Amino acid sequence: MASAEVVWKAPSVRRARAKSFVWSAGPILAAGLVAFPVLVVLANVFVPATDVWSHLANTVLWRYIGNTVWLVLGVGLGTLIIGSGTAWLCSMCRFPGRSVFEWALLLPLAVPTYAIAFTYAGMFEFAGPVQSALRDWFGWGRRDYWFPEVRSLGGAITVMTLVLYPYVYLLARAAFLNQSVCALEIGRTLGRNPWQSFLGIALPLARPALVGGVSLALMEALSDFGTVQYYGVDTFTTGIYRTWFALGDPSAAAQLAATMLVFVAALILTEQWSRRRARYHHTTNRFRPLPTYDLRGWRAALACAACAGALGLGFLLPAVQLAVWTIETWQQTIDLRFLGLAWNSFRLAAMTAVVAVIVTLLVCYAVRLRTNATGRVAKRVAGLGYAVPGSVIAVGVLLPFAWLDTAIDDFARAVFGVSTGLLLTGGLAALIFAYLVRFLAVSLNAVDSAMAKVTPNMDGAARTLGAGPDAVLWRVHVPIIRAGLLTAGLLVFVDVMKELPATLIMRPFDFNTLAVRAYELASDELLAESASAALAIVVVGIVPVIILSRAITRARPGEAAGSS
Amino acid sequence: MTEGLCVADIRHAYGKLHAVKDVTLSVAAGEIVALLGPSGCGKSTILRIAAGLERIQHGTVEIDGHTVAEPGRDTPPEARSVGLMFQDFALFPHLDVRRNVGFGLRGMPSQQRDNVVASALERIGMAHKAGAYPHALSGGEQQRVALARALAPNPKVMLLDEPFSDLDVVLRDRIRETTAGILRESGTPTLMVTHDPEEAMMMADRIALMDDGRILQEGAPAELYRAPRSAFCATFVGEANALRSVVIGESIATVLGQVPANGHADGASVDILIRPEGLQIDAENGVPGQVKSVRILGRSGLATIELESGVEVTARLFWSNLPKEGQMVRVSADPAMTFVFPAADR
Repeated sequence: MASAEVVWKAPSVRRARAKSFVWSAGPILAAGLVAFPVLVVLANVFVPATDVWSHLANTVLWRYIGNTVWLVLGVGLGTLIIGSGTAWLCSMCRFPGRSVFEWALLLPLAVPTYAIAFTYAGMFEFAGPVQSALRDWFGWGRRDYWFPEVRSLGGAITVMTLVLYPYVYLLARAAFLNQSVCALEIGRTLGRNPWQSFLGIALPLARPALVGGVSLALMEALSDFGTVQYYGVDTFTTGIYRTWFALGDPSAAAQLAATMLVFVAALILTEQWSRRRARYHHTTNRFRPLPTYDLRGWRAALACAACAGALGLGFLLPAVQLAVWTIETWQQTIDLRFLGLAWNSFRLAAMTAVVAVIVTLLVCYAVRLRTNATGRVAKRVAGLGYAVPGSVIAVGVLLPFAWLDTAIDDFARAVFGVSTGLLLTGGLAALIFAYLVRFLAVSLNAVDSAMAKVTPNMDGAARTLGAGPDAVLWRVHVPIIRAGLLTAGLLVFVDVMKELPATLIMRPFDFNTLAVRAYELASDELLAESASAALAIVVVGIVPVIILSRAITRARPGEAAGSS
Repeated sequence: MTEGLCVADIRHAYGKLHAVKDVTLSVAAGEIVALLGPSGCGKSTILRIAAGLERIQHGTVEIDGHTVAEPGRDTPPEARSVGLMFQDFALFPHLDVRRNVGFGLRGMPSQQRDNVVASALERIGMAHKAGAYPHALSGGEQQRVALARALAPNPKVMLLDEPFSDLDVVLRDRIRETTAGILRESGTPTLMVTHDPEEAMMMADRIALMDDGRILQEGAPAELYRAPRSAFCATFVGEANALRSVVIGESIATVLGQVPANGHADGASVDILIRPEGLQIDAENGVPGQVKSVRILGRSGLATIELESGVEVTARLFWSNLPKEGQMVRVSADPAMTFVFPAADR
């Protein structure tokens, strides 16, 4: 063209190669970062067992295992029933309020398990408003009636089910919507009624999605600390905490954590299996508007009541109770100290979000650049941290960091004659590292799906136009996926805000966050006073729910063209 | 120093799949070469290797006499000075037309860059849409912007990957013509990959016909059409009536009469391919047959004729020569449009 005088400045070939090495090393480093604490925990299996460990094994270990098994079974069954039932109603039936329930049923995701545990305890225990009202109405005395004990294994299972069912709902709903209508219509022509076609066709077809959803919910249940601690249910998370702090035996804590990883590994394998299966489950590609069953009369009322029950018990009731308590106590609780806590939470969450997004961006781009098996496997490993409970990660991070701290301190004192103190574990670095391990998967998913919008050909075009790999990232990818990066950051931000066990174990001395504050006040039986901090977390937690619900309403294949 | 692109001895495998099996090809300055073949024949792989988007496994790539790729030593695409245009155009959705075209002009003084972009837009007739974003452009406009973007940095080689197959038929012919015009004017050696023989013949000075990872025949479009080297070449670049027979002595007996054996051995089984336009129907000494159906396609038409042996053949005839359905005709074959190949295993 008219630019014959353009001088072509070719980038140095050697520099380009050096960079390509950096790009291939990136994902492996990230995978190492996530795998590191788990490996530390596993390595502790080979540390000779201490007296504490044999004491644990003889006394509480079987109780931990028993309680964990019951928790997994109970929460698994509960979330499966509530999640798949509401998902079926909202995707296949028409009844009053469906369009609201469709997204509102996700709201319980905003409530951390410990927050609902505190509120339910406050409402349903002996001195709580519910039992008091019953006694007043019927004139009962203390021993005249039976009421289920909230602070029990059953109570823990119930409250966890109520806030964790949306994981199943989310995946089941997507699976129902993606199911080809044909399979369902054939079922109906073969004489199945709606109820039979739900049980006989839709549910089995959606099995991988249901398994996936339940395993996600169970990962959350397994890593919960606040609920089981408060309800006095001994599980691994409380055991690790107690062994670490009360018994002061880190290696025994690590060995407990390693035992717990057996459960985690089982869940990861189940979930990965379900993902692989889900891919093969589209029998045909024909999507038509779903045949909706028009519910009338008592059926409609029942459907409406079922959804309202799930939403009410999982979100409205605890949220309203938290709001009421906050209003009662705000004059004492919302003070400068509270703002300081909020600032701490915000600081931690924001720093983690920024680091997570940067790491994720580099990993995703590097895997895209070098499409080899190593990179992909490394990315998968980096995405597994979400399954590892916060307390396990905390132990896995603290052990080596504490060792490093001592080593650095000894070295500095020997060579320079000064003490460096706790360089790593004394500050926020170790905590942010732990958050990163746990929540990297969240931003990986978000960035990955955003990056899919940039076609490989755009990379190719940019490269042949003279942009090196870094330039393509900054000039093409980042501007195009800006919204996806923001979403990833937000999701991580909220998860960090809610996180309790790792924060509790790893926070620097005298450093508190909203989550820690809510937990501590509730533990001191100051439930009403703990409400303001919990409510703040719930309010922030609604943000990703909105993002999610907007994403799923847009996600139905075959409907995209008509909806815009 | 030889100007242009030269790929030599290229072999490439994806795992166990051998996509390219020893391909050598060169494109000289001012030349447009089409790499033609069915999908999956390995032609796009060659393009990607030439651009540097795929690592070379065997062979070499030279641009203007400099080796830019040999095994273990790939110059990255950004340092090769190649222009690449994709089937989906791959315009950057976050940049307007002006900044898309200017993307490859980093490091140029901004005044000069503005001038280059402006004249590039002028040339493709898009100056009035300089501020528009890709999603607001029609398919044809996107294609022109992609072309201008690839040409703006004045690449040493242009590579086009199925550049017209996403366009609707009405636009395609005109855009092919303007694109070929712009490319010729710029004098940039161009390698174009396509599965459409018509497109290749229309645009290219030379066609390399590929199948199953190898180049089967290379030459001017007319050469491929008139002197195909194999049955595959003959049928890929145009339609043909296929007959099968056996050589007896110096000639071959077919349902359309005797055809010279052209060196095929006595007794050999052969395929005879006759282009539809190679059949005439008013020949005096032709084979009798009855017209089964007639389809008029503008100036010419296709007549399906059932010969007395029961075999059906198709003839392409000028509209005024088209017979009526049911009419009896005499059919003969033009030896220049009749090709004989050893029988392929079926």
